[in-house]
Amino acid sequence: MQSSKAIIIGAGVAGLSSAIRLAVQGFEVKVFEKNSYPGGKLSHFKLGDYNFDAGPSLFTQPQHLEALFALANEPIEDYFKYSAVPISCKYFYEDGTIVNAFTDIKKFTNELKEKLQEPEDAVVNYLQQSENIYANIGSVFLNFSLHKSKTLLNAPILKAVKNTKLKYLFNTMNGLNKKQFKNEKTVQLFNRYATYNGSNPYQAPGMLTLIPHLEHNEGVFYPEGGMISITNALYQLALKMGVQFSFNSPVQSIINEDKKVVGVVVNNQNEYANIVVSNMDVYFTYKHLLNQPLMATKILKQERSSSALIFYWGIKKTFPELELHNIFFTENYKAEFDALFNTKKIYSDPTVYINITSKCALGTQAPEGKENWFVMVNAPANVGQDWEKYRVEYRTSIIQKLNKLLQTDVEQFIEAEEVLDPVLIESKTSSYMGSLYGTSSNSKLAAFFRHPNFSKKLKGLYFVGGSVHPGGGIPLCMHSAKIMSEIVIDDFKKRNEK
Amino acid sequence: MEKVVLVDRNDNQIGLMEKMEAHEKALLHRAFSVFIFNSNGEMLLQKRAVTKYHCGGMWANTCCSHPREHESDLDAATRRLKEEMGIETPLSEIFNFIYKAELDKNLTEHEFDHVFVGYYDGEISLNKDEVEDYCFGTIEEINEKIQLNPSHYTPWFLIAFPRVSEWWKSKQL
Repeated sequence: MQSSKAIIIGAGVAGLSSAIRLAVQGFEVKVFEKNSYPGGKLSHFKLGDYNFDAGPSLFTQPQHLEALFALANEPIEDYFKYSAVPISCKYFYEDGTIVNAFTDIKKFTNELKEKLQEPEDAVVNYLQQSENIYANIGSVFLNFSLHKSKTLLNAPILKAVKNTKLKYLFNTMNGLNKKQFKNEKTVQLFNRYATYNGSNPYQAPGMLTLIPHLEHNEGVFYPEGGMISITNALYQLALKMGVQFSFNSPVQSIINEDKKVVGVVVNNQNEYANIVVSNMDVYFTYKHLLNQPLMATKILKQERSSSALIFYWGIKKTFPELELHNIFFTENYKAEFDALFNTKKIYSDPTVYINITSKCALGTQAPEGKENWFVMVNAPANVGQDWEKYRVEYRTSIIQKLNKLLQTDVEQFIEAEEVLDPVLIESKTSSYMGSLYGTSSNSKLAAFFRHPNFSKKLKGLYFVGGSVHPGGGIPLCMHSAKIMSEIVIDDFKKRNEK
Repeated sequence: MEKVVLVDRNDNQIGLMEKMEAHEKALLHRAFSVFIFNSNGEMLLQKRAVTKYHCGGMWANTCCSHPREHESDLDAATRRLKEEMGIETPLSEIFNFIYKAELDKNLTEHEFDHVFVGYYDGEISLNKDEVEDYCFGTIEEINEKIQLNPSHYTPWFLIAFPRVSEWWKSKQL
């Protein structure tokens, strides 16, 4: 396998992880990226003296990053440092209730008891169940391809399904949460985890209640230097492993001969390889790179995850009452999700998320006495709405909400501003409709409908990233790279046996 | 003489006919056109040998011809590209179209044309029986030359060129 070549399309988190894994497996790896920088959605920019992480802001499960460095036999501490965060999120409700979600379970249950009159047992049992689902079915789903008969036979999938009570498949996330908790505010708090992969808690299966496990049992972390440090660490590790990068190099097409992929066209040249891994949105891969609009249309039948409208604000004041992660809840969560997924229109009282990395790194992410606010509202996927208008309206709603709940006048403190909307997300990251997490998990069987990590029709073509199995978000993207690399090992074994 | 594959308007084979006869009777038959680009993004044109059965001495796309019966369009395009220009490179079909055009010598071209694109930077070795000369040009340069001297270009190239140009532009991000 020494001389085998691999081409990776796109240097997002999944592309970088794939590059490292394939390099470790002995491939000569080349990565082609259309932007001038690595990271895809996990990128960074400066606005005056303020630093901003452009996209993902939550770091959980550092073990996936640790595993990559261990695999490459490189000491992670030379590349990447992180520390645990004591409060995973601070929640502000419309009636003035404030809840601190401590990562310490004892503190968290106390807080929910005190603020929301939620019995300790209910919370402890819920988080235990969350862990069970994660351990039983989640780990199977995340670590194996669901599209290989070998998986279905070897992986403990039957056991997993047996151990998963039907209510997790057939009840909705909201349904389960309502049964578990007395207080509607607790239900709302736990319903929010559906947004972690861009889904709707009123439709998504109860299985997604495994997500709180990651935050409340495993913990929330802050990477030194901000989220961009994840990209930088992966990029540096890939370079160390001999991976070659070409930036400003959009791949124009994937070359195939006799149902086998032999390379790509990039910079108007043929680049040959034994395997090609696409970290580009699977829809655009079929439509633009494989010239298969019919296959692309088929993929479209799956509902897309939500998108977002993000305001990056340089705030010339500090707000001690805010944490690293903050949520300002809408009064009516159901109506907000209806707008996001059904009418696909703007919602007048959106749930606002504010991430402030300067809380964890005083004086570096923002100047002394100032804060870098990453202000995000969930937005419907782009179906041609008037985003110019939506921007203005959302901005007004956000400011009104913050003024009310923080007893302040936010607008006068905004001294730098940048906006990202679904249209820009699509054009910058080739994410169809600006979806942040590929397809949604709103259907019970969504997990089985996501595109597999390999092509059934073209030998040597593989897929990674948020638009394919197992789904969107940093940990899942890293899982996709792992699953892909294991399929590649299998495929090469078969080739050599022949 | 070579035979061409007669097709209906959905590219289904309906018969075979000797090449000259098909062009005299203006019957729809299967064909392909290859457009090669180099890494500077320039299109490769060929000047047809004057001895060709039609359109001798005119400029056209890199290579075009007809597949044999039972030969795939891709195999045929790959074969002819090597025979005429000495080029071996992967090709992919980008679209197909039907056109009808009056040629010289009382012949009519009526083709279901499969358009292939490929990328190549290496040596070119012309088959002088088929090709007299070649040149590279950007889409803009060629477009200008066409405006100036449309008669120097074959009818099918004049029809296909704007469509390939459009495809090319859509690919430049």
